Amino acid sequence: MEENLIESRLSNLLKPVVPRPEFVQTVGNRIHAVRSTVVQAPTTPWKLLVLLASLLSLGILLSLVGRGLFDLLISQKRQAGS
Amino acid sequence: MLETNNEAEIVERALQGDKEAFGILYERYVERIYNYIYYRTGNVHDAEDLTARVFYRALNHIHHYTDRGVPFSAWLYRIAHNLVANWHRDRSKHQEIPLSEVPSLTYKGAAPETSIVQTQEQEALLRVIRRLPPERQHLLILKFVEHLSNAEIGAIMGKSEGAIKSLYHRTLLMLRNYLESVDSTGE
Repeated sequence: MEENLIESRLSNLLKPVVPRPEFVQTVGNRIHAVRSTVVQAPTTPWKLLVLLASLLSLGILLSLVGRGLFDLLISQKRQAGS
Repeated sequence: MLETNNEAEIVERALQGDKEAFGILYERYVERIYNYIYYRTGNVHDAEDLTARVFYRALNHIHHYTDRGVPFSAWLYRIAHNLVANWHRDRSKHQEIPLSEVPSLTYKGAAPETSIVQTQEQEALLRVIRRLPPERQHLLILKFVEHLSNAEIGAIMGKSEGAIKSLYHRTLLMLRNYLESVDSTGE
């Protein structure tokens, strides 16, 4: 099969298609509507989640360390008492 | 009012949050991105859905865009390519849409009452095109739908003009082989 023939068939098949005007307009309007909120308020929820997770981890760590120190003090006191 | 000819300036303004500038980029490229996605997916519904998502994603990530001397459209095509790839992956039971859907669309330059001649040959060709690697499908769409030159295609696809010429030649050979095997097996 000749390449020219394939090219001819391709040009007959692959033609520009026009999207529905309503679709183009709807998306265009939505882009204008969301633009300000998206760009001006770059809120990143994942950063907040990381912060909360870090605080929670820190709290757990401090409580474990505190508990360890408390147990240590109690055992030393008992040893001193006996 | 923005000067609409200087794309770099428009992109720069869009990067700074200028609504009107992004709107100009949208209007300039929506049809091209739609065409690309339409021929990659084969149906209007998904083409509209994915085209909208391309521009929403571009809007939300435009601050990540850096001008590396390639057209802005190359960045949009890359987003479109990724979304289409995800779409293909997500469709576990992917069914090709026959060309019978095409007449519902309006072709540029064609009279409204003109209907597209449906032939088995066209359907076979479309099926064969969809079997090509995505890069080659992209090349054919840019060449035949957008009527871009090899140099322009190269700028979008990040290749030299010579590489595009070579890729195009190999694509035609692959198509010819596929079509011949289809003809001989009568698929």
